[in-house]
Amino acid sequence: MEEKFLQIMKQRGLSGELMEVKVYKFSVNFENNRFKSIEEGETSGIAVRLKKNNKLGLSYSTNSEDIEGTVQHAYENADVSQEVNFDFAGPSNVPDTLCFDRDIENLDRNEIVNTGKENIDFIGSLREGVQGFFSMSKEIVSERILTTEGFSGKYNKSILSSQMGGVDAQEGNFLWVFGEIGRASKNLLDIGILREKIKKNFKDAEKNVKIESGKYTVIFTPFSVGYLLLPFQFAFNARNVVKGTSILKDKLNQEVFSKNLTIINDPLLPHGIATAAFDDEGVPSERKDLVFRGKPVNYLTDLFSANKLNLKPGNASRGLSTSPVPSSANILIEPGNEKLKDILKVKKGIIIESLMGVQMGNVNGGEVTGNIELGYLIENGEIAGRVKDAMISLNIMDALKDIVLSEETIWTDFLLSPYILIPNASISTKS
Amino acid sequence: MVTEEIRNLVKRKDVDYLEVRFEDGSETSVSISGKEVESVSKGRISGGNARVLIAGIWGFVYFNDIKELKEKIESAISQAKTLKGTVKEVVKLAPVKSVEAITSAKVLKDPESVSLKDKVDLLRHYSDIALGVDSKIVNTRVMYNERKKTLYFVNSEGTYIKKDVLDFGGGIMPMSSNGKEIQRTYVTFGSDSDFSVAENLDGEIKGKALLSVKLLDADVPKGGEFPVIVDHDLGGVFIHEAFGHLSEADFLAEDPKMREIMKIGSVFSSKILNVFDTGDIEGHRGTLLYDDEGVPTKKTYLIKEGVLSSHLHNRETAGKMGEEMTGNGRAVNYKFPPIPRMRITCIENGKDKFEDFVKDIKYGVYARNSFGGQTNGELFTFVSENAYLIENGKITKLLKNVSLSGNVFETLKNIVGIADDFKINDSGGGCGKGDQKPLPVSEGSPHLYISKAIIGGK
Repeated sequence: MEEKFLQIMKQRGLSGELMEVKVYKFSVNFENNRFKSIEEGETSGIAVRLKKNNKLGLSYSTNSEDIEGTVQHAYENADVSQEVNFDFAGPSNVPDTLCFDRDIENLDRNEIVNTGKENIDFIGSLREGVQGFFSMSKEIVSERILTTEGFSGKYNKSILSSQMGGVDAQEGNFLWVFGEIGRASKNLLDIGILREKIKKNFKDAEKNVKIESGKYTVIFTPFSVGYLLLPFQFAFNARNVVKGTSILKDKLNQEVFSKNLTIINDPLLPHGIATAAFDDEGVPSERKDLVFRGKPVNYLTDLFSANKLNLKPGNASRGLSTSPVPSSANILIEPGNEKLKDILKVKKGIIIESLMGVQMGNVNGGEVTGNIELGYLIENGEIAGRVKDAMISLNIMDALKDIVLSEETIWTDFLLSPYILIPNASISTKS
Repeated sequence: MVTEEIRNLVKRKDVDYLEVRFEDGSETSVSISGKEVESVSKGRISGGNARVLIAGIWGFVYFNDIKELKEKIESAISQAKTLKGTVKEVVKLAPVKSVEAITSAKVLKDPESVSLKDKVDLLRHYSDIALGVDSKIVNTRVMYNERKKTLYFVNSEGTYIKKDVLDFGGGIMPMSSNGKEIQRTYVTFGSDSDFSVAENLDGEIKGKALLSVKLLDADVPKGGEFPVIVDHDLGGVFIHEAFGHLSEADFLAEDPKMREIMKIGSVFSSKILNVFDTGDIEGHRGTLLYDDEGVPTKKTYLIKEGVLSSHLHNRETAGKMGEEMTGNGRAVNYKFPPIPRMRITCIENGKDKFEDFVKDIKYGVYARNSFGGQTNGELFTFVSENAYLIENGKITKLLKNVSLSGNVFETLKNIVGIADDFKINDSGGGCGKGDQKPLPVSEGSPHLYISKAIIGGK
């Protein structure tokens, strides 16, 4: 296949890139406290990017054999596309990474089913009338990238992930509890973390409490910190910096956030679900600080934006049918110095477990606004009950200037994070 | 594509039910950012699946190469047999008459009749129009996606359907900045049959670009609970997100508490409210004759004069609940099984006047156009693109970053006025449920007057 691609490109005098992806997925699903289905799939495909008179064409096919046809489609598209100045990735030494585990590949159907049975029974035991759900899936991904500039790389990745939760739909009071974790190592996937979260969430939500609109101290847990990171996905995207639509444009090396905040993008994190030896354009992976002690220090780049901003590329991410764009990999937020139990000693505050609607809001502008789907009021260090019918609204450019981080961290799926306390967030409620 | 051999392969006696779906088609997409055409791509997709039901357990296997079908059917059977006998309540699919049908949408203007170059030129022109409105328009995001495929469906009950399906949609997002913040607005289009909906959008784009600049200086709302008027766009998103998803019966069928809450005949609102979901309005994203289980589509009233009158079913949920099938079993592509999903979901036209709603409000919000929404069955949130303050019966200041939220059941009861200006909105995106997105759907509504909803604010 490699030879065929290189030969076609040489014959036509083109530079280009071939991506080949194979994905095997197996999942076991339990719903309504019972075994529901087994799903299995194997898909593969190729994608070609090429330059014709410096114009970029893209095409893909689920028929991996059809290199010639896919190149021809990309060739035709290039006419109406734009000129680019970057070169496809050249030869390089790709780093060693730990993202494949033979134990995941060999994980037996019955073992997954048994794990499911045990956990669905556990959820059912937590609350009378709860409808539990559980799923576990293993995914084996093989990705290969080849360029006419001389890059050739391949990696295999195995991901084991699990989702579990339950819903208790009482009239006038629905309660959804949910959690998800994933690892590229079987032994490191600790379902116990999820079980503990689900159990605590149900217990803390035993009664509801009413709150008034106003400013509150809020605490994001490692399971909800992802909402605070949504604006960062836009802000650190170097393509948005090029276009002037990043709120962190012109803000590198300036004190923008609390000195306590350090955020690292780490595609080399051993056993991470976003771990890979090279990005989706064939650039070797590197660990990169995004925020260092409150100062934004790097953007996430791809070949296009790195070329425009004179930076190093390396953070491109794509699916078979989509164009590469800068994207984060595994994200690590450095822990702080406070013990969680001390952070929770607030006089009055709200713990955020999950929000709704944040991604539809103005995240480009730094806004994190959403309905508190699951959150708890703390009074004098004690959980007073579940907060409902309330919205949180904050902008990360203000809200993250003054934060407290816990010593304790939890690794969920792509994120390893401490608990984060924000002292002054707006909460709007029903009158 | 579906030969006699394949039709014979699915006639198995050792299973309760077996179906095979296969699709073959092409996709085109264009992405423009400001002055630059970031990507133009074309792809060929083919793939299929075998789904089998044995004693209440589903086995489902998907693949790319139809030549592997025979062994994939065996795999699906083997999966379903894994826990045979452990499920007490055996699933009985609701019965359906077997059909043989070949269908295709009535295409008025085929996107394929417009060359890729002309499409890209049109989208670039739209981007240029937005950029030219004001120096504060710092960028645009312009997207276009087109899918054309032939779907084949065959099952163990003798049904065979071949469907030619077209779906396309796009959007133009002017983005403004004053150096401190970013605002954006959105013009969208979509259809299953007529490319002309993507044409002649210059005026609308100019207006939205200007609005995006004005939003930079707009006020942020005061947070709290207020009377709200929503336009047809937000009304549609509300009924889709807040009530449509709740009506999808996979969420109800096996949960006794949910079945009680969503009992047919329960009063959900005042008599002015009628809500339906249908596949039979031609020309929209979500129009379909047969769903992905070969069930004919029909207009389904979810709420009739305030009373709950039906749920949205696939064959499994209709069977479990002993209700009539509605033709809502849909799968986004070959990698997923069909589950209850919406088609075109609407609040029917009312008799009231929008102007009278405004006059009635002392202090409230008029929320317009949607960036989407989310629900968990009871609570919902949706985000408006722009909004206006209403003070003493008059529309006054422009507001930005307005998110609305509430309790579905309370909010349905709080709909106190329904205007007579119904419109269907075909957005460029689609509906997401679990991993299955973007499914082509559309929504319709007139202006609604909601006596109270929570506005997120400072």
